[in-house]
Amino acid sequence: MLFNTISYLIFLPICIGIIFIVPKKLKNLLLLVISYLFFIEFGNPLYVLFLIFGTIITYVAANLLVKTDRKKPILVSTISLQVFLLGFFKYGTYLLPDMAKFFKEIGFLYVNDHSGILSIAVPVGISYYTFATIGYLVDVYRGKVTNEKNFIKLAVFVSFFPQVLSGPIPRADKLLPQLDGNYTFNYARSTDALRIMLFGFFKKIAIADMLAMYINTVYADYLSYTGLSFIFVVILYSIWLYCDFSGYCDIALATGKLLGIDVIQNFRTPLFSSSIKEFWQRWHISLSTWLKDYIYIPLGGSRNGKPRFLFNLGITFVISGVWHGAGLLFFIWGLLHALYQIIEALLPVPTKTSIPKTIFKTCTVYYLVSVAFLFFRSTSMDQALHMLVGQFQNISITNFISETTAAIAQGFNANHIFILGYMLFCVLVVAIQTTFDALSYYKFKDIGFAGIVVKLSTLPRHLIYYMLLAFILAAFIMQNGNYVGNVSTAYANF
Amino acid sequence: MNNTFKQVLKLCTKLFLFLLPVILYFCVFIYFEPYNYFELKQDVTDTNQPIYRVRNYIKNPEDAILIGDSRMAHLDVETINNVSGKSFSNLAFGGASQQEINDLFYFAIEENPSVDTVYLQVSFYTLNAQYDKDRIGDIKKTSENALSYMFNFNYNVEMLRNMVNPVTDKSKATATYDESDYLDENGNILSYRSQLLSYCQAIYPNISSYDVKDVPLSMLEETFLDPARLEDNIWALNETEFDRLLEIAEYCEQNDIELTFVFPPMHEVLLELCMKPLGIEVEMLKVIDALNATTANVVDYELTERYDIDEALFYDGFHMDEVLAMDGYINKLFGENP
Repeated sequence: MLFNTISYLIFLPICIGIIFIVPKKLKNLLLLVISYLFFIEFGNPLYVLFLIFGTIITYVAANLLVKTDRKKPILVSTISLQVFLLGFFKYGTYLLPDMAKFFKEIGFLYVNDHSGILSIAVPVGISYYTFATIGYLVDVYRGKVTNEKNFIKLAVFVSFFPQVLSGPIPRADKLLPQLDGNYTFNYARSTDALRIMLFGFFKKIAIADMLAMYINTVYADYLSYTGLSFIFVVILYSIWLYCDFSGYCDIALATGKLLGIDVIQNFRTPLFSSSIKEFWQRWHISLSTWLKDYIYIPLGGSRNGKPRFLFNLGITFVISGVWHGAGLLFFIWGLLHALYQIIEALLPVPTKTSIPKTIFKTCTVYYLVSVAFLFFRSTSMDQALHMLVGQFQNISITNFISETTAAIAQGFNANHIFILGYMLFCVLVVAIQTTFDALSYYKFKDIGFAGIVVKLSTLPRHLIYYMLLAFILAAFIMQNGNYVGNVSTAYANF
Repeated sequence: MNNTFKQVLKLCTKLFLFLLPVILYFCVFIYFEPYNYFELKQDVTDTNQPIYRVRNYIKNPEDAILIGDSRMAHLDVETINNVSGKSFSNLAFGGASQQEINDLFYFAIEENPSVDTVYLQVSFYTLNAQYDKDRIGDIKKTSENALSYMFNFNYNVEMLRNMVNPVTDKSKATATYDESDYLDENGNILSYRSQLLSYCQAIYPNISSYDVKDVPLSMLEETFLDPARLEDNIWALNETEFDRLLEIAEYCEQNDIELTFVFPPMHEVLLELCMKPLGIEVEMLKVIDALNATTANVVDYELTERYDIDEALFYDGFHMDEVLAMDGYINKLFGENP
């Protein structure tokens, strides 16, 4: 089940209502059942077996870790098994193409993608819960957290439904202490959660899903487009991915908040960053902090001289790329970020800043990040290179207008009034989101949409709520009512 | 009342007020939607759309059915019932592809296993592999799921259009013509009525890669008849749907369903200027032979048993005048092929 569906809007209040009503002893058990149901509803019910298996080996290993002196072999073997499983499903098809055929022969966990290529089905959420369990085991090993003796509680930590499909990646020291079963209703917390959820839906449905109609059309038929269209789509894709993923994470955060559980804030207006380092402090925070704590720092971080520091930095980002998926394109995406970081670390730290300099740096970082995302989004190296080079060829306003109109006609509707309406709609929603993010970044120290609107008086605050609601409803309808599960979210694939 | 309950109630009230505009919007939607989906109104504004026909069939299925595109959709069920003595459900809708027609057949027998008579339309236009629309899944989903209907963009647009300017299916495609309709832009006499030539021009992109959009009326006939056009043919038999037609014939034979494949009438302009020059006629004759080899009835008014009526009785190349020609056609189709 995805958050941006009507099913979820029905599922959520019912589940939360029941969790609040049942006795404290049963709350975690119920939360676990709900999490598994949520997980099963998303796709193949067999996927839940991998989730349960991952939880069991983590539980057993963590409890063995505190009972034995031979901690390291247990830690290494358990993590190796989990990484093997993750690697097998994510890279099995790439490394062992015949494996998919074997899976098809036994009628188990295989998929044909739209181009008919056979591959092994990746159990949903496996990247997220594998990283969550590895992080927990390392924390137990380091003595940072105590081993969880209550299996149900650990299982909820691994499968907590707001974050099991697409993150954020939970951290044991933050989440486990909150899973005490004291889930009760709180008015102020709930209204705050609903504000965050509203903006999350706005970003996901009114911006990301709307922009996707245009962006996906261009990517699907990229040979029909030229210069300015490529620049535009490359720039727009960053907004799309940000709104898609951060919108989803906002809804996850709000869902947790309704239960009284704080989920990691995964994004803090990253597109306004004025350095790549800052970008990674604000983008997919749960992944970047995980990589920092469990890969970068164990490798030595910045402690062993500059060459080693640059190597550690580079290898961490390459791993980040590989985590996202198999193939050269994700590797290049990670490599580009590694190069960006290394070059940035080698550049002298500026002593003076000015507004024009900051604007220049912000725009540069935005463009560099967008170019890296070109490799992230492309389906082949040919496509990525064609679009990369194509940005600087055949620059023509006339072509751009006709290509954009044609893409919207194909992706949305061929009626000229609707094409204009679509353009206006997208401009407005992106402007609203950018305004709130700019206010949050430059003026209100990352308090986000919910923090900003509560500062307003009643009338403007409610006008904003209704405006966002109107945009969400209109976007929902413009997407032909994609509420029955055919919508997706970008990060459900990782 | 304890404090928590009061706070829950307060939040629910606020949420209700917040969602009130959405509720009001959908009240307006229900009031103005043109297909009486919710059966709250006396009259249905538009009965020609697939959503209405499919829902109507789900509620009140007859054992005799008509399936096809607009040429079958325009047939008046009451007149057919009088002529044939049977009660028909008309599931045909404008713009249906052969895949959609075939899908509707299986949908109809699934909904009503006692179907015993089927008039299923086939034509060169719907059997074109280029014309591969696939909407029955969506139409079924929308027919069965009110939320899917209410959140559908097209139905929302229809609702707004109906609110501003009520949609009606009462108007019929009919016209009379004079001499000026047979003249080109230079005042010279055309071989065919100008509307019929324009109709060929309109459907041409589906069957040929040659662009005739800007060809003047005076040059159209010559352009269509140019032997070089054969090279531009993009029409191809939809093999999948053709095979499904044979499967349908077999299914009907096994299940004692009286099946009639109907190739509806078309004006000779389409045969002479489109089908023959592009080589489509040859391909379609093979299709007719294959269907004739089944146990189903084949009524081919398109090629082998041409339904020749006065040119003025054709509203356009495919559609007959709904006032002047339709009753005669119904009498012929359902009177001679009961």
